[in-house]
Amino acid sequence: MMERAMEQLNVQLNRLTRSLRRARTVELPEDNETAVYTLMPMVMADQHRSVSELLLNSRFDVNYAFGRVKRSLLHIAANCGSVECLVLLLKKGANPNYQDISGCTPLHLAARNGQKKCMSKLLEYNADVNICNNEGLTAIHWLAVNGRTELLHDLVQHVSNVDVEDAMGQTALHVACQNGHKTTVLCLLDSGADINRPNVSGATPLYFACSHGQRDTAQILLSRGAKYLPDKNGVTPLDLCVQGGYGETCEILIQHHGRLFQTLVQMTQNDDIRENMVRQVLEHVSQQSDSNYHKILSNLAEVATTNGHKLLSLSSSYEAQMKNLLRIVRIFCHVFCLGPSSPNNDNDMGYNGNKTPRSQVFKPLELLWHSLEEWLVLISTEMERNNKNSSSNTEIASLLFKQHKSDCLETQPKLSSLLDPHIVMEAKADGEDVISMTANRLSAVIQAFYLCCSCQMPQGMTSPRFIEFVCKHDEVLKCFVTRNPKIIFNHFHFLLECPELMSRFMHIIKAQPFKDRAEWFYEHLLAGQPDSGMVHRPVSESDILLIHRDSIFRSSCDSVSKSTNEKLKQGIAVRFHGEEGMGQGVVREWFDILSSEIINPDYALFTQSADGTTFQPNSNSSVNPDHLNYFQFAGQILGLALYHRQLVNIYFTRSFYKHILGIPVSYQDVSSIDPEYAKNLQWILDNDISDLGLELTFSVETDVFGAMEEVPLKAGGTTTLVTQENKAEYVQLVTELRMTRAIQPQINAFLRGFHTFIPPSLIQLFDEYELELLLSGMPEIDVEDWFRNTEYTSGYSDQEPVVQWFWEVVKGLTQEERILLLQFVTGSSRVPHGGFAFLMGGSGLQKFTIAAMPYTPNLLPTASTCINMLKLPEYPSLVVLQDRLLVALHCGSYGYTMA
Amino acid sequence: CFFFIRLRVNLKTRFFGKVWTCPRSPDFSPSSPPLSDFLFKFLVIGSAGTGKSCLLHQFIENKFKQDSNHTIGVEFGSRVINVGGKTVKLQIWDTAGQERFRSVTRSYYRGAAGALLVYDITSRETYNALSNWLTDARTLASPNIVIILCGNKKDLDADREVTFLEASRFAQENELMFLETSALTGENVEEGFLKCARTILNKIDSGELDPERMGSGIQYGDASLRQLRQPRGTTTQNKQQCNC
Repeated sequence: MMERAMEQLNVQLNRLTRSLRRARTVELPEDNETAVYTLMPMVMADQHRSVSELLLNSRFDVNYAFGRVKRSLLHIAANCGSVECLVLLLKKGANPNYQDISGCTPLHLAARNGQKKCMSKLLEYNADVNICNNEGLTAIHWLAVNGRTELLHDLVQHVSNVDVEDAMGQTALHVACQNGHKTTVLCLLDSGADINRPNVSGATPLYFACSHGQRDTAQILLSRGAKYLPDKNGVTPLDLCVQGGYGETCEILIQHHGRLFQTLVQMTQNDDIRENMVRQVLEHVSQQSDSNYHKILSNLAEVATTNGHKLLSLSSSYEAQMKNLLRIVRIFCHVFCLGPSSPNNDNDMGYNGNKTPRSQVFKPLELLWHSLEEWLVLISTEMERNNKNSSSNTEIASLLFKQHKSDCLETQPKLSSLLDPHIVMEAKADGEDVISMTANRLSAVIQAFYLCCSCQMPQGMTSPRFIEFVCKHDEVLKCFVTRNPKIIFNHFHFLLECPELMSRFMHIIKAQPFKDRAEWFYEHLLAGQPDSGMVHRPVSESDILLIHRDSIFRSSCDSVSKSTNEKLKQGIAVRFHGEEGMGQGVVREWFDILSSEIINPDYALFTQSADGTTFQPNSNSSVNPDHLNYFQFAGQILGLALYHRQLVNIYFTRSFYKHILGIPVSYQDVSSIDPEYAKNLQWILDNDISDLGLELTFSVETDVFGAMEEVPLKAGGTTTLVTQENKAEYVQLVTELRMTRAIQPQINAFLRGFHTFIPPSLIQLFDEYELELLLSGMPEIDVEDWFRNTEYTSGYSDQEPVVQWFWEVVKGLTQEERILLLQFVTGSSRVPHGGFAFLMGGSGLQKFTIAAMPYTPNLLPTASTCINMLKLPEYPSLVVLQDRLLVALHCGSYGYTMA
Repeated sequence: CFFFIRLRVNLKTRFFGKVWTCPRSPDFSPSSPPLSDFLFKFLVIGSAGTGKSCLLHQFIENKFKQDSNHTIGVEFGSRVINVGGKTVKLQIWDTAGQERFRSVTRSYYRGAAGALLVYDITSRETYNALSNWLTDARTLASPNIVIILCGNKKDLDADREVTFLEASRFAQENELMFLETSALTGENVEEGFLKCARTILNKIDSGELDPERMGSGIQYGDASLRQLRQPRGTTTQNKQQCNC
């Protein structure tokens, strides 16, 4: 008894020491579940001695499946490449074909992770290579997807069918092609894989290679005779390449199937494919050889011409066809500008007419331009004809036609049938209709023509041919835009790039709503800049403008001058010294405080005007020797703010806005700096000065550093008397002297800075009121406060129906329109601090006043801005009042000069 | 258990290391279904009011266009037809007959492979203008243009001003094919277009016309592009390569 007890103790002691020495248990637990978790880490680390020792005396089932996916230890060994343990387990009778919950065998796992030795051992123990998992994948699929060619090579000897399909009908070749494993593809093909095997959706290996732009793989497949087959939806390999923008792969396809070249070019017409993808592909293919370059461009020109002709035909949908044409032309111009692949042709930009070989590619398009010309000539003849017999039949016919239409609206179909349908039809096919039906189509073709003309010119130059074209068809084009101003914003972008052409259309453009012009302005200003909304670019530390709060002006000036204009256009990042904050909020704050700093009187750059809230350059700014540099900086900041749609906290005088826009100032603007003097000028203009004996000459006396000096307003001005006849000229010259000449250097410096960001051709889309809104934004207007602080004169009172209608209309206006109204009457978009009660006039407080005017039909409201007075005709109804008021507001600047 | 978790993670990263997706299902539909071997550019020309637009409408829609206005400039339509086992897409440009559009419509002539020259059998005037139209077509379109003369409004036989005989003589003298058609009943409309297309196909087969040449008004259609024939010889050649 004792001995047995001693023996047991010894055994236990022995175990204990062994366990302690090896830092693990020396005996497997009884139940499989616990045992398997003891063994697993050892198998993973391939500690085969320990495993074999533990397994030796245990009754552990080596095929015991555990965990969520129900794998055996053999799976673990195969997966981790624990080859010794794997052999051990196999020797212990582990089933090499045991499938886990997803149907994977140890061989699958070894193949997936490329465990070469494990795979060969498993095969030695008769692992079945043809077993599929639940998704139908076999070991060769796994090798193919990861491109393990060497292993695959060994494995295919054991495989009965290399074309075994997974659940989607995909073979190993499909997946190898998709992932672009060249050697794997070759190995599979050499092993007899079916090169044209379609999967369930009809996709072949070539299709798979093309879908992921696997250029080399596509090359191998094509040179081994792969067929070019579409899938079951008719989608071809080329479709996929173009859709993905895989230029190189497309090129390979074209090399093997020359006719795909045509298809590729035709695909520019397919608006389902993204433009930049097709362009990318064509770019690549065109750069492969000179002949490709020329072939692509001539073909594109053909396609563009056909599409242009379709656009000019009324059978096509304007929207779709216009988009098609412009897309093709954009791609064409883009490829053209890249130039042929051989560099010696570089200086041939092709603007020497059509003589050079490079510009030959434009030849097919000449046909379209010819049609365009013919159309424009036709329309100009139609216009002439219309003018000639405008009073004759045509008008009657069109009247009848209108009548016919309104009858239809009033649901009197009987009446309409009484009208001679022949006359109605004639009216419809009349010249008027030809113009309205074709104007937007022709304009889109003109846009295409401009694109083609300007891509042959060096940057920034307008093609003489195009200028000639516009001049020649001036009348027709003006007729188009007058009828449909949208055409300007949709198609006449060339105006913004050619100041010489812009002047012809300016009056029409200025009559368009501010919103449309602002949209056009930004669309063009930002054209060519990467879309900042789409791509978030990380700012590099060196591009951050570091600003010191205690020297805002100087440190801003420093950091802005260190940056480049290009960088500043791309985006601004501001950080205040010693502060963490970054982002749009900080940028906004910077513009806000910097703009208030610019007008800080300490710098003497800007001076306050008479009304106390607006500013203009200080004629004495030269007390600061650097003043012109500072003006340039101020211009830059204002330009930059406008560029990035940031608002500034400065309001300038009307005259300074005019200076920015390059509009001549008027004597009324003088009131902002010297209201008394402005009144005197007004008086001279209003009264006959012949018999007053003023003895004024075209000169003024000014105080130049304490000495009075006579400054002539024009050559010989000191001896020229001001008369009733020439007084207008005198007033203009004297105004320019006070308003412009005195601060000319400052204005010039400011504009130099401003124009670095805002081209003069773009800003001239606006008038001085709108410029203020663009720079400083729209204030909130409290209509209640406005209503409470309004006075009435010349017969109006707040009880008058007209006045009540007026307020009803104002309440219904948009914020923008209210500001227009305020600008219309007071000349400023701002409500003074404290509200309408503090509205200033030319001489002190002057409340908003509404005065009555006798009503005559079509009379518009007018305003006297210096006394904040709206002269409101006694309109017969709310509707008429609303209509007239809106007309006055939307043609604001126009009406203003008339008043 | 810690090890077990690590193993799982490990597997996952290895598992998803490579692309394993089906090719994206295409988010665009393939080009319009009826595939064609060729694309021919056709013109319909002739004086105003002869029924050109109605002929085109009848051909494309298989019905008579009731409320037809004067065509403004040029309209177009297309239809795929089957001629001699080949599918041909006809891109048809229907021109305005009115004199005022003449210079505009002329600019569409270039590169047309075929033309329907239309007159009205009830109007002598439209018949007399034919030689003018013919000169235009022969000088402005491709020199190989195939023209078929169509005496339209055959249904108005009572008001006939041009006899079949004289028109067919005119056609013979000018090497034109000739048919009398009715856009109202549809009689001979299809034949007109088919005849013209067939002649062009024959000329292609005989080598007289080359679709590859630009400005011929003929292009290979999308069918020939979708199912490309193998370049000759490649398959066998590569079989040999495989064997080495």
